[in-house]
Amino acid sequence: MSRTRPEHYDGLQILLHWGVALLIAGVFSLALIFDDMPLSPAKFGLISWHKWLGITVLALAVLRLAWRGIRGAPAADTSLPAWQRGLATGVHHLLYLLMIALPLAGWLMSSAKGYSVVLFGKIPLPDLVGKDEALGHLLKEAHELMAWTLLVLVALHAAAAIKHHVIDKDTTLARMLPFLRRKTS
Amino acid sequence: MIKPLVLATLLLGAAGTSAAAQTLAPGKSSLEFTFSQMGGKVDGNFKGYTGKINFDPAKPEKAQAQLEVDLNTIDVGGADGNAEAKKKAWFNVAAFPKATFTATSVKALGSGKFDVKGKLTIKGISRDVGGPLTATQSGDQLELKGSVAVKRLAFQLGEGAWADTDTVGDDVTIRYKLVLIGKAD
Repeated sequence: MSRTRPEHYDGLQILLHWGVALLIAGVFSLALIFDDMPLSPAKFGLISWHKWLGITVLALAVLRLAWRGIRGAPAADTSLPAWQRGLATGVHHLLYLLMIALPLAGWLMSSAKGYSVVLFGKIPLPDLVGKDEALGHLLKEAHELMAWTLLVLVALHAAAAIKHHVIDKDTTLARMLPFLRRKTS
Repeated sequence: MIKPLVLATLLLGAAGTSAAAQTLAPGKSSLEFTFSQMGGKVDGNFKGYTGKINFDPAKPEKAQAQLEVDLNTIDVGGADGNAEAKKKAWFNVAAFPKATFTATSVKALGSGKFDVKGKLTIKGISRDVGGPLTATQSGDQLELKGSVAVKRLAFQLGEGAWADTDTVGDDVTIRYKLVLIGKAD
């Protein structure tokens, strides 16, 4: 399949990138907050929002991948060394993988623990597996491990973007933040 | 001193069982309940309960049933939830370790179906409850399967912040399957 890759990310890709970034930050923060809380209606509320926003990340990640498949995404700056382009691509792939696998593990874990997810309290989602305490515990471990991995990858991804903008002074970050585009090129 | 005591206990025990012609087979029976939590259905059960039931489907007007539930055996699907359910705001098992049900009337509706009414006491609060029952005889086993719909707040289950029914719904469905062995008096 040969196809010319677009020059820029389009508006939808930029909007989804930052929207999902904000959602991930929110979902992660919610988990950190409710994890140590004793059981209370407030905790149930936070857990529910964590689930609902996590499922939203899953849906938007699928949408992003679909649109990326249709429209394509710009290639990394060819002036960059091959190992950097390879590393960036690898991290992007892992980020997409985790944006899908992490919420899925959470959804599976909720099902295994016997709690159906009712999206925004309105849309009942199917239980992916039957109630199974041991499986629920295993999925919780997997969910948490993936969450910390995602945090590390996001930090790497953001650090690289800032490094390209501040130290290398190239267009890498400006592709996702159009207002940073420099007049001179 | 110990031996006569043991003997007396055994005799009393034997007298107790011979008085009730039907015995409850706990291994074949179940006592479950379903409630909603953040809009999703959650199943729970009680593992410990005893019953004195005398029920001949041909003579429902003579039916007698007394059930005693050990509330410490509650299982709402997780250790945190089980600990919470025993606390003061919920079942307050330290002060009220048992719930009791006493049937007050059983009416035949035809084809093995009955309408059961009785008094349910939880946390020292008695309420009239009722529901459908299906009786199935197979060999010397009589299976009684039915449900009772109750409102948790009528028994002050979930006080304070937990009284919020958006978090945990007011409606609770109790489902029972009681297998009786032997003939009714």
